[in-house]
Amino acid sequence: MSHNVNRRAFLKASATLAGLAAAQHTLPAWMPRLAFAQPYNNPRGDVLVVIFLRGGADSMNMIVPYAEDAYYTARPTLAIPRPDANTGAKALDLDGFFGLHPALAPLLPIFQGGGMTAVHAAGSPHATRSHFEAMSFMERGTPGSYDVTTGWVGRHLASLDTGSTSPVRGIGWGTAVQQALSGGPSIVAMQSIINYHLNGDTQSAANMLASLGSLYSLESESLSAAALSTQAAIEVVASVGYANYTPQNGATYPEYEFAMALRQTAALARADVGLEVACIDLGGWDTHAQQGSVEGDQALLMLQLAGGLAAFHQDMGADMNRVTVVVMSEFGRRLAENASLGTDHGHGGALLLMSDNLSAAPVVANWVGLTPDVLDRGEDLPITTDYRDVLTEVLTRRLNNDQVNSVFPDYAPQSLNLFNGQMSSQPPA
Amino acid sequence: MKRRDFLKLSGAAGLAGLNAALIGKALSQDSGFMPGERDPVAHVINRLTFGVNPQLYDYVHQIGVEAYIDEQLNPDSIDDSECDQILTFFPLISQSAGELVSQYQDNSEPVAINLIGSTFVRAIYSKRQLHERLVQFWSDHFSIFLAKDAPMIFLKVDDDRDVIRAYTLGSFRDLLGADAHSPAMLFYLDNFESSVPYPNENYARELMELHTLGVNGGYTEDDVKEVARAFTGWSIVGPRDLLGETGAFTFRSNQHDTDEKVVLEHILAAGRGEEDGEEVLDILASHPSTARFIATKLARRFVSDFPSDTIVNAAAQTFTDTSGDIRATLRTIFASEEFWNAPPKFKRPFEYTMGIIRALGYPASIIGEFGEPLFQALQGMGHVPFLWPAPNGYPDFGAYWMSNLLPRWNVAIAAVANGGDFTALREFLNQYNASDDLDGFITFMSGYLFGRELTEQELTIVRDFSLAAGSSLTEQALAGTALLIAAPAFQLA
Repeated sequence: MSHNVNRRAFLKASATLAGLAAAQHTLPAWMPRLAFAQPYNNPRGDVLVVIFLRGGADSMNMIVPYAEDAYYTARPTLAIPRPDANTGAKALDLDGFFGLHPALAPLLPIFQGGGMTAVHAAGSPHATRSHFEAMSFMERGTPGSYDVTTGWVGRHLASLDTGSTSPVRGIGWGTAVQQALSGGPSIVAMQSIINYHLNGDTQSAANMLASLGSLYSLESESLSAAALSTQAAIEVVASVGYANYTPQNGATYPEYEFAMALRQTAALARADVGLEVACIDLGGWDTHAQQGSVEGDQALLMLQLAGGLAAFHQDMGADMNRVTVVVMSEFGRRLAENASLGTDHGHGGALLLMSDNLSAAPVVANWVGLTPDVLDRGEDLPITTDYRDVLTEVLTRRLNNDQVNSVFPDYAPQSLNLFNGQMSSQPPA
Repeated sequence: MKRRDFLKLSGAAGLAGLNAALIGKALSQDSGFMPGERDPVAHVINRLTFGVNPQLYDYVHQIGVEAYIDEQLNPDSIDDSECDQILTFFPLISQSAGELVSQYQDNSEPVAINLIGSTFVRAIYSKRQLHERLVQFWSDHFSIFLAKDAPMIFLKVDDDRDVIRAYTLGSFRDLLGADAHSPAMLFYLDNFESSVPYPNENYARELMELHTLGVNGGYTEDDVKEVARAFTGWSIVGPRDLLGETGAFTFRSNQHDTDEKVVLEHILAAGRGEEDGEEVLDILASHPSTARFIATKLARRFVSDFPSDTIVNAAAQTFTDTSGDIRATLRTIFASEEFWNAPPKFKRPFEYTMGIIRALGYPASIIGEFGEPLFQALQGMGHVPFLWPAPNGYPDFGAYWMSNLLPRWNVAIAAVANGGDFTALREFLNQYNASDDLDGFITFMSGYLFGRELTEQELTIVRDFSLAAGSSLTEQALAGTALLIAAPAFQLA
């Protein structure tokens, strides 16, 4: 056996997306096409972007209930100072009761302009404090039940008959599609548009793709369908010319993976490839320790979240009229801090919405206070708004899908009136 | 269940006398084995190892599948000196966390290279293949995310060597105890900072949900709090960054909650110390939910994504009867009808990728060149060892991995196209494949890679693609190999 093992560094990690602009692919020059042309989508609604904060985001330190004394009592070291505090970094007032964490400052003008709403004391009502169970319930859209194995986004795509033949109706950014997308037609996982092709010279790649298609078509339905959508997606994303994509309105995306997923979503949303939903994960929110206050692990995550969302908002500009962004997490965290500058698993959290068609105030909440008698289990923010109520409004008002019972079976949603008017069933001009 | 019973069941009695000389052809010609039917040798190799290689098929066929299973269940009996020799190129895995942190605190990359690189090498070259698959299994079960802040990576080196690798096949209680004391786990799930009066619940919850009982295993939110109290004071020596210290386990009695606790209806008396945690581990390890949970996960790994109640019950019974003997539990699984008749399982990216390197017979000398591409390929598929960002470990369901086929196809192309060293494979081919025409090559390779013969339809597809790839047999054979490796039959095990 040879001993000639070369130990030279082979862990030059990640950051491949950062080099996108330098990619040498000769693709058609990017042209800002007529926004949302319609060969695939008829009649479809907004492009939906679902951002999942993995780990149970501490919404209490993101959308801060600074008017609550109990918040400051429970969090002597982690609380975010009131907007009128005599300190440097402090909460940024939203409505006289809630304030934004200072790391979310890039989102403040969007909130102030009516382009974002936080729905607080919201979430998935099942009592579980397990990440994995809570995520699974939430993404499947059936809290407490394991009967339905597909995801709510997947069922949305399956129940909305757009007649679309696009192979990329749903994209899960990352190395596997999110559970929410599961069961949907024409969904694919992708990390990078630029790298989404078969390697080798054009002719042999085409030959191999064709032969693989033939081989996979002989297999089980799931495997042959996966191969088919992969093949079709390769062709479609190549047509986007992403190498030449220039964000609009002077937007600059941070070079985080999260922001790069948003940048690629923006490009696909503008091109006429039939994208209806993109799912993006941002992980690391399980802040049992070193969560920090105005600074710390959670503040760094919020910088990523806000930086990416603000760039996306700026890039989309007037096209935000046809995009809805939802940010959610599997649960919120305990009101009281623990011994390691962190917080343990809690219950109620907050959903964030970004859209040009919001009609609601910056913060919507059926807020019952933070006294032990109203807290869940005496210690966690209660859920007074079911997250399915929020998503139902997105479905019916923005996604043109009134098959709510297919998406959230056996659930009677409550109206929240978060959006202006009704969705037109006509495709945009 | 005995292998001969399996053979009766499957109606493939002729296999017992199979001559391995022409694997692919023999399967169809001599045994009446029809395309798509299972070859027990290929099946055992698929399930117990990281994939067939030129020597292994012969070997297993020669000693028999049952002898091979026995051998693999006793890894200490296997001479692994060749792999050990290669591992000398990763000296950092023999060092302690305390030594590593003082040397590599500013640049931990060499430590990651040693830890992950040695994992690749062992998967590809170790003869203790089942041991390596169990290391992977327990590394997922007691998952630790390498990229949590320093000193996570240094502590994981200790954990990999002294906890996971040391207890793969022994008593589950011993493994659980070693893991509970492991500074890596204490750091990863924050227990090292847990103290009265506000204990950190992270470890306590995952201990029950992920390591023992399972999420619906019968514990309550109150149990989580009580277990967290029982483990207060279980900590590590040194400051958070570990600088200047060993990072060894220590029990801090002044941070321990000495009041009475009630865990799963057992009363832990007041006034005790470290024994609180030990008793919790005893309670959990001997709980019926734990037997069922571990049995289910092992059956999922070695049998199918959705194992039947029959096999789970049998494995759980053995687990209970033997007080959590992992080896005995595996024996029950490997002897079961379900194991021998298991449906194909979609390979996870790590198994798929290591399987390619093994199948092509690449020597260890290529790891220097292939190490970085291997890492990047696994990154593109989301399956680099120790980099799953949550404590539940990489998913073990085919459906999870199936939405991302493209990087697999590119790995197949890269593995064949990058001018690799095919010496071992060529010798293997020369030894067994008298035929020097393309059809003979394809038939032989598919038998070797898939453990079955191609159908006419498949053969036509592969032949047409190969012929279009070049005029020489070498070009055609290489292209055909890439296609076979990317084909669905090689994605399944």
